[in-house]
Amino acid sequence: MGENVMETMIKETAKVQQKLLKGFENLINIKDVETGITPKELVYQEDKVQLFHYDPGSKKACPVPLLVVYALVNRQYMMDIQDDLSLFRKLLERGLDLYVVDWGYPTKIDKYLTMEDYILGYMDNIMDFVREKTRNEKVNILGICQGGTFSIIYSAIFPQKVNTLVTMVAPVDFDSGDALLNVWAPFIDADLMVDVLGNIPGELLNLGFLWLKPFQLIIDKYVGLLDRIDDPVATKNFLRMEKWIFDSPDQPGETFRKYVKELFQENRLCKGQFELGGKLVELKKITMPVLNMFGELDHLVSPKCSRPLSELVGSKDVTTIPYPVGHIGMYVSSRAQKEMAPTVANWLIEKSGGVVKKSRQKKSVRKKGTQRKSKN
Amino acid sequence: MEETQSSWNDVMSQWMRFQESLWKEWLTFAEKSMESMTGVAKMGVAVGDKTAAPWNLYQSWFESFQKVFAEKSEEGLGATVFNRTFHASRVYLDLLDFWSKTLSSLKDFSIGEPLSVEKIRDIRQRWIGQYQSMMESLWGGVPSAELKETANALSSASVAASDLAWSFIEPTFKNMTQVPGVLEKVVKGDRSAVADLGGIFVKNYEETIGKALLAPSVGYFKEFNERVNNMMYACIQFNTSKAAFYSLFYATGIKAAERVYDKFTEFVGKEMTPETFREFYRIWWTINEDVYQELFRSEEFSKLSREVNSRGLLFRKWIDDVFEQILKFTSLPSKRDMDEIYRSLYDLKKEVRNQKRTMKELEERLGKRNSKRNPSL
Repeated sequence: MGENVMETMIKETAKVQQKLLKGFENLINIKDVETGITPKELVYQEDKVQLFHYDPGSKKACPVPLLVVYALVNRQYMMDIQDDLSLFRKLLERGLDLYVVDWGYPTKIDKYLTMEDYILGYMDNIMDFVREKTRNEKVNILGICQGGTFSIIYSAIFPQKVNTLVTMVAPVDFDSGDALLNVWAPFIDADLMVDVLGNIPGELLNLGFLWLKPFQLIIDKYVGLLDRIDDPVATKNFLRMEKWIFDSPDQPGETFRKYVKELFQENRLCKGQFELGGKLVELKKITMPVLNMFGELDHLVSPKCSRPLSELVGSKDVTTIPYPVGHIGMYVSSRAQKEMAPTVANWLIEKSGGVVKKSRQKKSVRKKGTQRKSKN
Repeated sequence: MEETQSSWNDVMSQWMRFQESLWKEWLTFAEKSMESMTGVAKMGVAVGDKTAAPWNLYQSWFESFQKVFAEKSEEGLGATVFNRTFHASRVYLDLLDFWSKTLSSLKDFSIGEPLSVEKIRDIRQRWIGQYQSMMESLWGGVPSAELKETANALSSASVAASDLAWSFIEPTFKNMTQVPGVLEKVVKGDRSAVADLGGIFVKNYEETIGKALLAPSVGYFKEFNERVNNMMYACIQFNTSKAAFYSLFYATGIKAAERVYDKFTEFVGKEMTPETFREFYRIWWTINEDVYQELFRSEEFSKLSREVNSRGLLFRKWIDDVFEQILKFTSLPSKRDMDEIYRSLYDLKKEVRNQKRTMKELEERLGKRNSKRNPSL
């Protein structure tokens, strides 16, 4: 056994050496990789917040535009990360007229920005802009993760401006307790953090996210990369994901304070006790059609956090779709790409008075097996 | 492009020279080991001998690799990801090193022979001992019992006692960012760090605030003194809680080691191949992931995290506070000054936003009224 031990040790070490050398050669001169690949146009800007328009051109099939609201954590280009993994592109191909919010990178000067500023200020202004520009009384909203929570709150306050609400991995019941973030949240001293740090550094949040699966995310992921380091396409794709994962804007202090204290710690939204700008946010006021999607394997936003939305809203037209994927898998897994985009597009077109083309309708019917109506 | 190519050639040439020397080193060792009387069984005994054991060669390889490439490393996404990959592969090879050592150390025990309680204890002790070494490379230095005791003793010191610390730290505030790191080394018993601190002390005492502190402003001096005392105290408390936090991490690693050990026994007697090692690696990281998940879900961890974070934040708060005082000597704005400016800008922007909204609403109302009065408009 001893000779084998030495031989194996040397062989394996040499193999890792070679791979590292190859990795060095392949990686070291790559300064950046392209993300956000679909052409877009900047149509609105307020402070650091920008709104981009993705035009479906002649394919336009949905008369009501869709506003995509992503989280303040990380960046919205995850949904347009590469040619073959772009939810935006898939939605455009289905004829949706897309408007996407880019919250930007808050700096120290933004430390006083509140949830009121984001939802009642920026988001409402953007909604008004899109309504005016497209001459629609109402707009469809797709809210993702924390952006989903923002969208839920917005829809409850301004139901008259929202045609349909689509949520993707959006937390609404923060008391579920089975995701680590929910376990840790009660122990966060948000007041002290904000008072001392001002904005909450993105790096700090990233560290928290890495700790959710430390051995997989800090070690095994990179050991796995070495195994496919010879594949330039796989390496580039890996770099894109790395760029996105570590591209974490700082969180404006006052927004973080309210979000952690009143949502994560006190679960006020779910209990009907959450106020924004002096207005009580009542989820029962969400009466427009709702499509609630979440990942059954999501380790960040547990299904238990997202699923209850379907029961809490006042709408009678609620569709709940769990997907057997994780948090990031919702945006980039092949299943999500194949199934989710057509499902969302067809659902939106149908609820917006558009016409779903026959071939697409056929696909939609096929997918209905994965859907479950919670209500109606 | 040419420059990049030339840089790459340079790296390659250094790399090749390094490979050559490493290979020679390996060959020399291999020859020696073959000549040894009991072959590899002896190697297990020589585990602690860093100059001879083959499983330590990769460590020198890593160090050299780092040396060769560190100078060539560029900034950018690729370089960043390469560094992360390099760190992960280091952990991977540390595990391989551990695996090799452990299997070799088991050469003393014949397969199939019934093991006595003493032998089982011996195997387990070797396992845990070697695992501890590997853990250090994974999590960094583990706080010793002495460190914890020292830190506890320091943290229980009263504010009055920190006057003593104040006299020590007084002139170093200018280089405040160095203090936590240096102090931590001091607490760990690093004599060179004490010298570093002394160096900072002398240099800055003479050049900076030492002069100001000698000024006959007793009332002000007292206030400043108290702030620095508080900062020192917060620093010690932070380091104490950090020690407790890392101890918990370390203890969890040992807990994982026990579980990995149970699985490891399934490998005893099997041929050592890259595939069996890969399987062991997979078991190792998944078990660790599970055990650390248990830790992260425990109330003990959450409470300790809160403790470390709060202590760290309070330390930072006192640093800010001391700087606030220092900046009074200068024409530079302090954090408080900047916060006032940020707040004013925020309020102004909000006011403008509200005004715009009001104007828009008025325009809309006016438009509606006009269209009612004159439908042809």
